[in-house]
Amino acid sequence: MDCAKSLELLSEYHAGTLEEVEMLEIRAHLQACSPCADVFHDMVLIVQTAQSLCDAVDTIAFPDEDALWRRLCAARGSLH
Amino acid sequence: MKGSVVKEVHEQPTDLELARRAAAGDAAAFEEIYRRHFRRVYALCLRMLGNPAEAEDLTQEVFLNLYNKIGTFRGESAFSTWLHRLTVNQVLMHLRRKSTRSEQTTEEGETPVQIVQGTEDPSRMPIIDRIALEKAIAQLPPGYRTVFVLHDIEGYDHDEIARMMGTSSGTSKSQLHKARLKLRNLIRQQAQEATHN
Ligand SMILES: [Zn+2]
Repeated sequence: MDCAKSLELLSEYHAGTLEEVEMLEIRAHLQACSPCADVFHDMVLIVQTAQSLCDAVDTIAFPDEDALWRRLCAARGSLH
Repeated sequence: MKGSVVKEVHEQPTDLELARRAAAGDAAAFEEIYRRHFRRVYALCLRMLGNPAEAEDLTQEVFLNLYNKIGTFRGESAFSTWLHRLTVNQVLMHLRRKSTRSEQTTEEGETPVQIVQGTEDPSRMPIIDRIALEKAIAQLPPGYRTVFVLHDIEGYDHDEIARMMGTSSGTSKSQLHKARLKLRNLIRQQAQEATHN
């Protein structure tokens, strides 16, 4: 297993959807190759952080709720 | 926030009750639905589109569409799940319209993601916090962004995504992988720019 191949398969490795042999090969590669291990480590963090964004709205700057409601009413009115 | 004190004294109507009243023409019930769900709808639009002005327009479209369709909500699933699906479909339709308009000028599948492996900086990867990630998501090419948001944030599986987007689950998988690698690069870039400024 070389770096290019293992990097290509990291998401599937993360999901655990590879054949057992490939899972083992990548695991061995990551233990031996720190640049690839870094990429994998970051990927895991990205996925975890993404999961924490579901239902989280604290990182978002919202438009004005009332202004958008008025806009919506105006648009709705023009439909009828 | 205003008015919530008064409302808490009485029992809050459920989404289903509100939906039925709205379908029967009760404007106040529809407004209450909007106020309950506006943030979630806007957040989803923003993440999928990466642009506040577009997200605002789409939020409006979603609620207009909801206004017309609310009578078809039967309560088999949670209202929020139903509205979520409605929103995703609306955004996907919008993206499809947009991509046919701009032809194939921005086919993100063409540009291979460069993997930056080594680290010049011994402190390695900057902290991947939620704000850095949100910023990076906004900079992804649209196709990558859609799959990443639907899979990694919203929890859809590849088969569902493929069905909604009219692609294969293999495409969804490969786009997700490229999106993650690209996000990693974007976050590193952001951090580098921050240290140079
Ligand atoms: Zn390697």
